[in-house]
Amino acid sequence: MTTDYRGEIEELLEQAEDLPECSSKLALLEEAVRLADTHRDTELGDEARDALIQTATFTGYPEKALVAFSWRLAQADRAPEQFPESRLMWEYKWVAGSLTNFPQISRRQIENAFEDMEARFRRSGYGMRAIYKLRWEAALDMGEPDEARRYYRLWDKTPRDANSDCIACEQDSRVEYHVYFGKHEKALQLAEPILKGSMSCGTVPERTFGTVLLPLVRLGKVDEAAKYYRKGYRLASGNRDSLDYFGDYLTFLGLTGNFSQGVKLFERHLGWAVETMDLYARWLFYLGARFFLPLVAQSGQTELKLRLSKETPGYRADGRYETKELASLIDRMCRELAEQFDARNGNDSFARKLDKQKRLKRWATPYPLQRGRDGN
Amino acid sequence: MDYKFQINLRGIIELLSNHLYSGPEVFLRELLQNGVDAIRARQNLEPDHRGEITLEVLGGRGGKTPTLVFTDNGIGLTEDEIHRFLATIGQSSKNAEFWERPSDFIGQFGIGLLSCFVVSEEIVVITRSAAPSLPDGKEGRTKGLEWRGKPNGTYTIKVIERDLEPGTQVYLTCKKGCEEHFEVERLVERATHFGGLLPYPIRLISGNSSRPINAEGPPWRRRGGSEKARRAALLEYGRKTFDVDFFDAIPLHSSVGEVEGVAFVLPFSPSLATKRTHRVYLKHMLLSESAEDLVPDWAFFVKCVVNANDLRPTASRESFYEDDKLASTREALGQCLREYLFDLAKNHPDRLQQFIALHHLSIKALAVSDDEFYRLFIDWMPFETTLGDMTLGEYRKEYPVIRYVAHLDQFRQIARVAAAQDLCVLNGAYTYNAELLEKFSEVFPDEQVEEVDPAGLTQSFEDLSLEEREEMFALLKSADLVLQPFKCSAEIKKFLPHELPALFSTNADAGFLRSAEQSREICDALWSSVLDNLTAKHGSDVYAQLCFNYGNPLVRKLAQLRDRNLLRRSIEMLYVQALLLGHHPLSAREMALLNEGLLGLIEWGLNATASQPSPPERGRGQGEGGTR
Repeated sequence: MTTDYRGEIEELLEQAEDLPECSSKLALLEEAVRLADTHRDTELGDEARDALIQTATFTGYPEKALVAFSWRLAQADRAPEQFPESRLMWEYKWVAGSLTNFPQISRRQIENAFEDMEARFRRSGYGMRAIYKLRWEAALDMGEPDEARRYYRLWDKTPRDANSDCIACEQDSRVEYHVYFGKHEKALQLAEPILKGSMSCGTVPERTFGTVLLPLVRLGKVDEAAKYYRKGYRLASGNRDSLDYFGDYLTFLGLTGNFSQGVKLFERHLGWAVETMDLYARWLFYLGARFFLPLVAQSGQTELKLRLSKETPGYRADGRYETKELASLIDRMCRELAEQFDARNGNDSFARKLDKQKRLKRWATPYPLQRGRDGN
Repeated sequence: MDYKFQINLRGIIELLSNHLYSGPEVFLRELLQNGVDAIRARQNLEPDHRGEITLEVLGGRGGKTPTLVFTDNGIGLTEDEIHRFLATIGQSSKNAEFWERPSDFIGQFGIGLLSCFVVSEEIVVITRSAAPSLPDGKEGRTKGLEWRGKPNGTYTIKVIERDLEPGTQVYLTCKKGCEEHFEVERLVERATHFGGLLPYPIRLISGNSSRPINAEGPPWRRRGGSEKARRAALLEYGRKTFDVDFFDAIPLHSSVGEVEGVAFVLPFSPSLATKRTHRVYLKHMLLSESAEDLVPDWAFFVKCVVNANDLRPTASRESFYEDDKLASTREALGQCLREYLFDLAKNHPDRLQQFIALHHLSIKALAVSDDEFYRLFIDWMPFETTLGDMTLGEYRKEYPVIRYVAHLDQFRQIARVAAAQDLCVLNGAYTYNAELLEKFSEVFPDEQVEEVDPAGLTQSFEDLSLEEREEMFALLKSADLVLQPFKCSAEIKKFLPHELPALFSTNADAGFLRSAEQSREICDALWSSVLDNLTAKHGSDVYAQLCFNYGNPLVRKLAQLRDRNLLRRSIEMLYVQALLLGHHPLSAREMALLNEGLLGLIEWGLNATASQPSPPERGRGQGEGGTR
């Protein structure tokens, strides 16, 4: 073991800083954490985790962010002067916002986390705006529209402060809220400044491009949707954190009859869905695939040649999959996930989403995209 | 006659503030743009017309307010057109599309002019149209006109009786506080910046001196001379423009978008965290110094300077508009870079080596998505292996099967053991490595690629004979029992190096559980319960493994040990030592093992020596472990 582990950790952190948010960066930061822990160096362990939480959050590993965050929070409780908790309140939002994504985490635990967060926010002098937003988002995820409305109104009334999400993120969330309640025109109106490029941040506009696809199709603006699909996919295709809205991409490609692009997208990103511990992201991806694959089968493609990872359920070494079989496998996995989530939430909102999904078909609008461009 | 601007004032403010975003000096860009557009319009009528632009600074010395006279010999304006451009200004605020700059020259002219109010209290335009008079032959149409506008929205137009050459002159009188924008050096610098590549001669006159602004034209347009000389000229231009000695200069061209230019190869390895930006000209006028997405994402090794005649600028004029045309252009430019690399590989292997030392990440990024490229370049790519750094080509010369691990911690775990048995395993943890190695068998279907699972590595170790297993049975059974609370199973095999008594290995899942355990043991009730639930799904089947080494003498002695307490303690200590060797942080319980274990062993050692007549002398100990 080297004695100069501090130098080694600092080098790892520097190397990581030179990388965009990606799994390689995450690996470097995990190594830094491990090294710091091996030497029981809480200060460097804290610093490395700080970076790790951000990278894990934005590369689609919320479970790793959660584990690292709970460690930091415990250190802050143990030695509040050395590790002031107020520094953790920004990342607390990311972690608290991901709790609903794990069906194994109970409602009680989620509620407790929000309460804990509120107490700490108050201690640090922050307003409740950010928490109200998390609460209405959680309520939407758990199928409680009334609760969502209530917190949305509270959120809207509470002034912004230093710990509120950035303007672009807040706007993007407004768009999502309105899409959820079927207010498509209003959603698009809200999305305009983002789509026009006058609001952006680390995750917007990519995220918004995904959110507006289906509303645009419903309002007959397929050409516009196609434009955002192309832009959005180019920006997001390398990032596992985008998995949750790739499900909508699949739905869009199905509705517009772009089967070969859709199959490629499915093949390329299915591995992420299989691997991820973020079961909500997996669910959203499978949900899109569940809509998409039967359309492919109907179009006459009865067999698909796919390169999938060995961990994929139903994996076949020869890479030949019957479209229908694959579709029913995905359907089964969707139902299993829906059961898990509904059991946790204590309602049937996920099961209902499955039932309602086929209604989307009436918005089918063939619109061939150009091929061979930008990731397609 | 007096007229009034028909303008929505809010619109103007918005307009100005949008332009102000990049600083008040945009007025110069706007003037140049207007001049160039006017010359192009005139050339449509008179193809042989030779365009010219002059900037002249009057006054400015001895406290006199300086005036800038901007002159072009372009198409000029008729009275109707003057009214029209003013109307366009009025509409600007209502029309969102306006920001995308209509090709309408007249409307463009008005908008450009408006930005001059940022530096001038009054704008005077003297103009005469070169257009042939219209059939109705109205008075004044071919005569010169003088337009005088104020920012409060009033303006006058009068006819100039004396004879004027066709073209336009704009007079700007310096506003208080804007003197710096009228300084000659600054004007030269900014005019060169915006218009240095324009195809019509631009001069700046002050007093008796006249200075050319754009004598040289685009460097990639220069013909003649050897290829080497042209390259040197491009590199010189790169040095002048960016103050960097670039590694190389690659000519760029794309018929889509009508793009021409040069890509400079960075002489250092760039950070992948920042987006690469480029200097782009639209119809030879500087559009932006920080345009993104001009070349494919993998090309982070270049800084480009290009001119495009047929791409659309974005509303903010910071980049090109993302459409199919830009996508095709990007592909074509990517193709130029790709060909350059192919040429290096074929004709300049030494230079390629240097290039790879700086930019292998770019090559790896391209190879991930481009099979043909992959085939040619993969053998050149450097990798870390358990036997040191080498290129994949060097590796393949020695080893028939490509073996790699995907994660850094796994690489650390196995590096020592693998090296000891001359097993060469590639580290796939760094950027693109795993993707590249996975792709290998896809591009070369006859070749074998194996991802090594560190837990699987122990499986490849030599098994024990039946007799040996019997000899080890008691040890294995105790170890399983002792390690069970740590979710770790025990195994015994033969492997190198002999001095390693045991090897600890985990897979990604077990690694995650260990990190969760680190947090869980210090968390409050809320978070430890959350972590419990989070990891519950992983079940008990995710086991780490401690593999004892039959070849290690200490392990063999342990198997003979009858003292059960001592045996437990020894196993615990070997476990902790194996963890530390693999850089695994110890949990609180494991830390406790270490502490108790050390104390226990010391005590045991002391007791053992106390019962003997005299302690063994230093340096003549009895070998490892202090056996009885």
